[in-house]
Amino acid sequence: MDYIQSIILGFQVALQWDNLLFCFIGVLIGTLVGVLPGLGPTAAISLLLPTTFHVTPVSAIIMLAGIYYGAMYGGSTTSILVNIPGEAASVVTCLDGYQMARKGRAGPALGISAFASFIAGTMGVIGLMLIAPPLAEMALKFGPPEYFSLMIMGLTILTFLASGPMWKALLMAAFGLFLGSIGLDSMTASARFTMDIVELSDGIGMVPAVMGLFGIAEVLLNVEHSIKRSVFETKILSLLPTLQDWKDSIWAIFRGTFIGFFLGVLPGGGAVISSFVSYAVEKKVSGSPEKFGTGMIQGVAGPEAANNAATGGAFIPLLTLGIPANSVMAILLGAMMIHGMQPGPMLIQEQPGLFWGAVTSMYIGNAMLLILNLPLIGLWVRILKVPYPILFPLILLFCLIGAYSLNNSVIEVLIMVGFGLLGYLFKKFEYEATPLILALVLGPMLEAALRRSLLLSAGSPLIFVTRPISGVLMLISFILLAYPLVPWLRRKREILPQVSDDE
Amino acid sequence: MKIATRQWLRMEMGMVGGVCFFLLVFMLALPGFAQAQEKYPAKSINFVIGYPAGGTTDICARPLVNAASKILGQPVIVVNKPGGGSAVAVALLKTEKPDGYTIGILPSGAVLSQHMRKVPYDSAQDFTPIMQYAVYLYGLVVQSDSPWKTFKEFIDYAKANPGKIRYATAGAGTPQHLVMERLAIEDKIKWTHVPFDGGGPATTALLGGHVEAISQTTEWKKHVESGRLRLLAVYGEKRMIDFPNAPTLLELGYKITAPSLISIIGPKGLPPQVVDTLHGAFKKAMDDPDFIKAGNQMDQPLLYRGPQDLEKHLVQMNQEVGTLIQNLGLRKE
Repeated sequence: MDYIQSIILGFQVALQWDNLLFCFIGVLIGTLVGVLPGLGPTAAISLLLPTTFHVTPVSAIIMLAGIYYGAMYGGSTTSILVNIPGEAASVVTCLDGYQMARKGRAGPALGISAFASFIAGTMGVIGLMLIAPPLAEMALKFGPPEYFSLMIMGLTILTFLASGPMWKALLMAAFGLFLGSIGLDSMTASARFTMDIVELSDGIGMVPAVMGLFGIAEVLLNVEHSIKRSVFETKILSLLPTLQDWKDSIWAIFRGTFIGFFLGVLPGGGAVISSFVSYAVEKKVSGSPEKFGTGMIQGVAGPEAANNAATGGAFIPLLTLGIPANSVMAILLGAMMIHGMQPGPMLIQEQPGLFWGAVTSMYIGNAMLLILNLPLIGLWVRILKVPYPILFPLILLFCLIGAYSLNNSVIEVLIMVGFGLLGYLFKKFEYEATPLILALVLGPMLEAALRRSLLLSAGSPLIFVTRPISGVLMLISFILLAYPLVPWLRRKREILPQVSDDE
Repeated sequence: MKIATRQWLRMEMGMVGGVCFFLLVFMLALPGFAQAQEKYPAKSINFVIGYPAGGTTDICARPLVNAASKILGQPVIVVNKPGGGSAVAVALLKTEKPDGYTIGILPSGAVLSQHMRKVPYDSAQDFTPIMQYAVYLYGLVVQSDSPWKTFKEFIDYAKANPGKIRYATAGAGTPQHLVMERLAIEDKIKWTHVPFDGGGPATTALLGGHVEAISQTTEWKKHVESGRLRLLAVYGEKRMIDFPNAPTLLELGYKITAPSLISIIGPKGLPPQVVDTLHGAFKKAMDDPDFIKAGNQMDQPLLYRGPQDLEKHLVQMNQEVGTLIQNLGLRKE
């Protein structure tokens, strides 16, 4: 594979003016939903998916991807200035970012988070570029048993890293698998759990579920809290971090990038979890862990790097295996199918323009984001001043319109509202919705892979452990599942603080 | 006081600016709602395909749909709903409103499926036929480094090693599945069928060595040409122009050909003028050079039938394959 040629091809695609425009719209909307609490990238991408039906596939993917990584930039702004995470992957940025702002160092905090995001985002894209093509070659070795084991491992990792007891996360994953089995059987087309409701024969749509669980539920919760929000009213003097700041944070950025990228690649990992892991790691390697939470710049740089690197990593399983690593990727999978592309081992060979164009657009997008988030920070601060009584009804309105416009069906709206209430209860009783969504997305694929595997092996489940790749994946899942049962290991899992939703 | 007011004003301005910005971005982004209009089509049309993107059906249908969309003056959006050899998509299409804004492909797989197992539709009764535009060509393909150089060697191995051969198709109840079942009956072979969602994933499974063979439409074409896969036999009445060395099953002494159909249908009760509009547009679209090129590339021969002809053909096809499958004893509940 000739990388240079491929990259040139990619830039030729990404630098076409319409693709540049879509890239810009994507990162702009991404930053916006990142800045706004209560609306994450998943809900935003599902909302905006129908608008991409009329553009070329490359433009569509470029824009939707832009929303995803753009949100990672925007989220930190709100965390630092208001102490409320703009989106879930910026939760930990609140801890030290807001403290920095209170000490009058809002500028360097915003600056380092933008630079960390840029460095990590770019390195994540490079990683994606280097790893995806050889992995796609190897992906042919992935037959149904390997797919099944990989998805099982993804779900296990997600439940393992989830906050709260593992049984709660497993319960949510199981519930998601059940919801995923509603609809027509994928091999025989006979109806399951549809209760003769016509709209259910196509299964529970992921978009209404996501908008309900993450959009509506978030609004309901925030309304109840009636958060007093004070945008930090200091003049942001200089956005550029000092030399000492750089010295303090450069290794945190590299560690965060590494952690984020590899957790991003794993199905079930992703931006939210990697930011928490990065924070925990920074605290551990630091000489003065007790100072974390008082405005340590490493505590901003590491997690911000991690959540951006994770976005690059998350594209790998989608583009090489066709498996979405998280719900954003699942929506992108749907988007690619609508545009006539089947993500999987053959994608890079068959659609080089699309793959390389989308990947190189992420370089350009990251550069755009650096500009959007440093010189134009004032614009986003202004958005933060929109009071919630105006903002939340707007978000609700857009969710309702979005759900209806999917199929012009009221049932979809009802499903979304139902999930909204469900999501609210989940939050109240501290059940995480993320495993549910991933299981809902993976469920049908998981089931098909299971059935095909058992056909291949003439019914013997041993196929999952006797094939080497599948066997290793199964072993990892097993260890993760057994982990909380071993008492002296159990305490270690608690290093991860409260993880909130939305990936 | 004065200062306070000014500050308040400035804050207010900032807020209003923020709201405007928010609205602007989302208004730009949200799709426009189609106004109620008498003329059909007044908004975009969904076109359901029961196989995933990147399969023969999908690759050939997309340029046709694009061309028809230009003629209709409205976007026609392809929606892939793979599963059950297209039976899932066809079953879902049955539940749609007959307003002409959701139509889709009825391929031979969905027709045969209803005779091989229980499905929630009847392809001869439950739909409004619009147009047939093509047929499929099928073949039996193995990896080129496999020991089977000819169809006979493959069959001999399968006979001698019951249960060893696993073959993939684009779904249970497709013609390519039926052919394998018929071969199994005729030659008393025991082999395992592994249904995938479409020909693309099935071909990928063969390339990865997860199955021994595929019985499939032309997704294998470029891999056979590049030498990675080997075509052992084709299921048509004649040999394929691009692969003149592969014998037909008829030549090999079997009285087996695969039934074949790719047609466009809508839910039952589509208004006649809507059928006319759609049929006119898609018939004209068949002349589109991109569509013809895709058909040639994927070896999907064109075959036109208008709405009335297609309706008759569907009834006849259902009778024929129904009787055949019944006689073979292949219906499973």
